[in-house]
Amino acid sequence: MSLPWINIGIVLLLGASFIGAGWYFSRRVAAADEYILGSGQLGVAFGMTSLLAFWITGNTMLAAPESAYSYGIIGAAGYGLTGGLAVVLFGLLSKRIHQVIPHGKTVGDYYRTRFGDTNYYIFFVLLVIYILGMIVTQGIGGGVLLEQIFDIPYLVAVPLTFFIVIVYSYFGGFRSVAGVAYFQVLLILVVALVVPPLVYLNVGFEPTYEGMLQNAPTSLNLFEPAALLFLFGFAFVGTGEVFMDNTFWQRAYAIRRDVVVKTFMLSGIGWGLVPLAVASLAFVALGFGDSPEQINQVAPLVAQIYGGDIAGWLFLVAVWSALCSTTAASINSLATLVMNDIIPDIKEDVADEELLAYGKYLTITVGVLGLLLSLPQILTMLQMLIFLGVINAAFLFPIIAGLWWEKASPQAVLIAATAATVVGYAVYFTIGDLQGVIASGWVSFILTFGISLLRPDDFEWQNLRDVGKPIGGDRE
Amino acid sequence: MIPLQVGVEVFTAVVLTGIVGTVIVSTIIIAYTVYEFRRKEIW
Repeated sequence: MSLPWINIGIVLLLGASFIGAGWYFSRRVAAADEYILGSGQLGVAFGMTSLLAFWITGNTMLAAPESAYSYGIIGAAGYGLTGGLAVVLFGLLSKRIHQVIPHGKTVGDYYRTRFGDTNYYIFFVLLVIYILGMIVTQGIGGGVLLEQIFDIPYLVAVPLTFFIVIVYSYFGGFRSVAGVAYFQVLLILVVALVVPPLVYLNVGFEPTYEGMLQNAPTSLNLFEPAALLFLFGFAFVGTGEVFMDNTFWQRAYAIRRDVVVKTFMLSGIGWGLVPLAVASLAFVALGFGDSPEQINQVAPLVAQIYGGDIAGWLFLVAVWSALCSTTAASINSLATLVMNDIIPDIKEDVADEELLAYGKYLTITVGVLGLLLSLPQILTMLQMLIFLGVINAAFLFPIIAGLWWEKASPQAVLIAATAATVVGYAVYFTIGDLQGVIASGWVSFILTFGISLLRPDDFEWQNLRDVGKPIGGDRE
Repeated sequence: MIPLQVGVEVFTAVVLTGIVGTVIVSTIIIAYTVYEFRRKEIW
């Protein structure tokens, strides 16, 4: 079998530049805290790109077009809007996070102090499953796509991608990941700016619309039941994911306090709009009857057929940058979560230098684990996001209640999160996937607030304020 | 006949919203990069 050397060359060239940039940004990392959060002084530009790099990228290139292909116009608009709204809401949450736990570093710092060890360990286990799921989703989605659309064999594409991501994440942790993400997001935005207009210039709006009307008329219906179910279900998936995921908590602390709300708000707008541009490529496939072998490959397929070789290569650059940025953010998120929350438990009085070394080993461990789990191909990206959405929805209301309400009790949270996960997956496997997510969210909501009202706690906020210490001095 | 089906104008508007939105987001990022770089507040 002959290998597509031009495509592999593009990946290698980009990979080498990511590794070079990762090394450059890592030069000032001398302490464990910097490996977890950088300097804690990110401005709006790098803050936005580090947020967009995690969520907009891999999901935009693969899952947003998948939702547009499956659920039509509501799928395209709903995917971006629900996700964007979640990021905006987390912006409001980030202000509160800085107020109540100003020197935390991970979501674990908050969850353990607020709800105790038992709740924390359940949360931690499910969070690890969730983050590994995210890493694996990127690995599988990217590997299959690189193989089927760009002819790079799966067993070459996946290890090569993970190797490059692990190397540049290893050097400087969050600092390298956020630095490289800036350039990755710019590359992806250029492609999102060029490819959809190029494709629509070639095919035209009206022929696409007429084709959709003929081939898939329900995709243009605003009240299609399946699409509305997706809209409501995905609101829980998106919000739960953002609120629970350590990646967002890391960024809430890494961005300067005076611009953190603005950065999240602007990123939320970006989240609402950029996926729409790429998702609109799926309409062309619907309109002209192009069927990808796997649904999440619909956008690159359309780019290649209707945009020509240049659009195809540009999309390769975007897809691969997207996968790298999301995978790197997830690997760094999990590695630093274990580094910050678990290592000091196992090893008392661990020195800062030693903790930093652990962080680097954990980056390699998490990355290799993600690679191994990605080798079998299980689910598509959207399916995986919805599957993990049951967990996200279960923890959504405990996290919100605990941040604002001193009466939210650990017992209520324990019962709510456990019951919501069990009920959610029962419904997921017996009735339907999105119904499972919605059930999980409602059970979590009712039990968290109901039990806390019946048996209220009286949490002392000072306990959260005493967690951690400022990075490199006070950054009030 | 499917109820509340969008017309070609709405369809075009949805696609253009995504494209124009991407232009706006890119502009915001570049503008903040220049602004914060000059004020040494970027990193």
